Amino acid sequence: MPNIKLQSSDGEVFDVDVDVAKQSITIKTMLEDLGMDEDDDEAIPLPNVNSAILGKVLEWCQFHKDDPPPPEDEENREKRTDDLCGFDIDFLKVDQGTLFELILAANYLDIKGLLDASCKTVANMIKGKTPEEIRKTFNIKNDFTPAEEEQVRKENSWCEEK
Amino acid sequence: MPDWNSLPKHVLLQTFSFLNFEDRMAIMLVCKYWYFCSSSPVLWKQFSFDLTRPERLEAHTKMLQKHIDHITAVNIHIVTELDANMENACTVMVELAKSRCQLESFSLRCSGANIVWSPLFSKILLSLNSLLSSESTSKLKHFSCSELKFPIGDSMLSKLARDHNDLETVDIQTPSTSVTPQSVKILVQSCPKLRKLCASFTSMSDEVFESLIKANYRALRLLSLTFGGGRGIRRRLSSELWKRVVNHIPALRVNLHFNFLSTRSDISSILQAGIPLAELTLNVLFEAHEEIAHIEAEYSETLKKFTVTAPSSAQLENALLSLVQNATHLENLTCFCNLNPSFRNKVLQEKPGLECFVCVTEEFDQNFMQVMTGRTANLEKLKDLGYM
Repeated sequence: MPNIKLQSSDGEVFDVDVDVAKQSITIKTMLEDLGMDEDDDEAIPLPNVNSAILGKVLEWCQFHKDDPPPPEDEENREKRTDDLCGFDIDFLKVDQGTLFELILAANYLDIKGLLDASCKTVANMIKGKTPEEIRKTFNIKNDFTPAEEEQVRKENSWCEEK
Repeated sequence: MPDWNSLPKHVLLQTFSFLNFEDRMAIMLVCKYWYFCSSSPVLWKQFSFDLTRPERLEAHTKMLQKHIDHITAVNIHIVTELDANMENACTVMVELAKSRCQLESFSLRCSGANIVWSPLFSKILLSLNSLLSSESTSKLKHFSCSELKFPIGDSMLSKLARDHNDLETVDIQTPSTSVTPQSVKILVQSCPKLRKLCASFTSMSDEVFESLIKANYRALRLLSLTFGGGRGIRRRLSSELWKRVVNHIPALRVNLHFNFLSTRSDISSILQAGIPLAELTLNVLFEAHEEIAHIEAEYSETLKKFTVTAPSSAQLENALLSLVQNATHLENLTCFCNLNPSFRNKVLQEKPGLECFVCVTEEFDQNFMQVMTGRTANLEKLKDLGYM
């Protein structure tokens, strides 16, 4: 199995199976478009991902490398968050900082499965919470003026009663 | 702490897309950026109306009015005991009918008691009718009324068939359907893209199959049929006819579900050879090992999923094990029979990859029957109730 080299933002070089790395559409496109040779000794630079996160991402890709392609995108299917596989649930049991970095990396590297799983994890952190609890969880500042907040509430006929 | 608001909008939207209505209402109040993102029409293309909480209606209605022209998929869930939410469901359907939305998918399901005698029953049907007569559904691809507590009739199905030629999936598998083969025939003839049809066995006839064969399109991939008794019906659809249909549409797969009203002779006459059977549910009150042996003999090449509820016995266990050994493509076996505790291990020894669920009790009370009615058993719920 041919390998390629990936270089993280802090200079660490990862030697990776091509098929594992190609789950990243960004890397796949680079390999195809730039005609990068697989035996090439030069590492592909990934300036947006540090070594800790790249290591995690590649661990995810390694585990999912034999996944069947996702089913045809049925846009109208009901979206669920309780269908994460056991590996993903454990994999994403990380601190918020790491989860955040993983989302950015999955987005930059264009790895649909990982982005999906991490977005679902964040959605699960939001579910069932009041606006104030959500702000606290994600350390978000309420930048509505009281009048604006009242306006939104009115617009939604929303009353907190959970 | 990371700055979650620095995430690209599409990533936030993807996250929000997994949230239900109530949670979406909450995130709008978090901050301006989240308010801005959650007002995006992309997020509101698919709308699930859970009308079981009347106090939420105003919020639902406002959001509906705000985004109605972008909506492409609607699921409505009603509880029949609450008059108010039945009224609400009617309001939603009428609003949708009046709007400029282009629905691709519509589903209506209910829980609660039967409502055939409720005056609201006819109001629901009228509203559904007006929705199906409107421009809003002229491009409808998916229609599902599978869990209704009232029968969908011929006039409704004919309307659906005549005015919605883009339909790809139609699910009218209600327990008490009154759709006759005549209108299913119209459906088959006027919807060339039909890929999936779920209906009751009573709605099928030789004529429907003949028109399937005569039509020169072959899109149909799945036919799911429920049998809940009925005299004379089982003589329909000979194996000769099945073979001709399969010849015409080689990719067709069939799911069959026998409810508790099915008799031994119903099952044996319906399950003749030649059906491209993929999933089979057998809910019976009699010893079923002979039936299972027959299934093994005829369908071990095609069967992927088998669910059985029957009185337990050593013979049943042996018949099931033999089926597992020989059904090469079997992926899932679910048994609601009081089998030996070691049964599951024996099955998994034969076929380590098989999904196998075995129920631990045979005392089937009302709770159990409620979960079991409908097409598929809700395994999670059964686990919660302690049956698995």
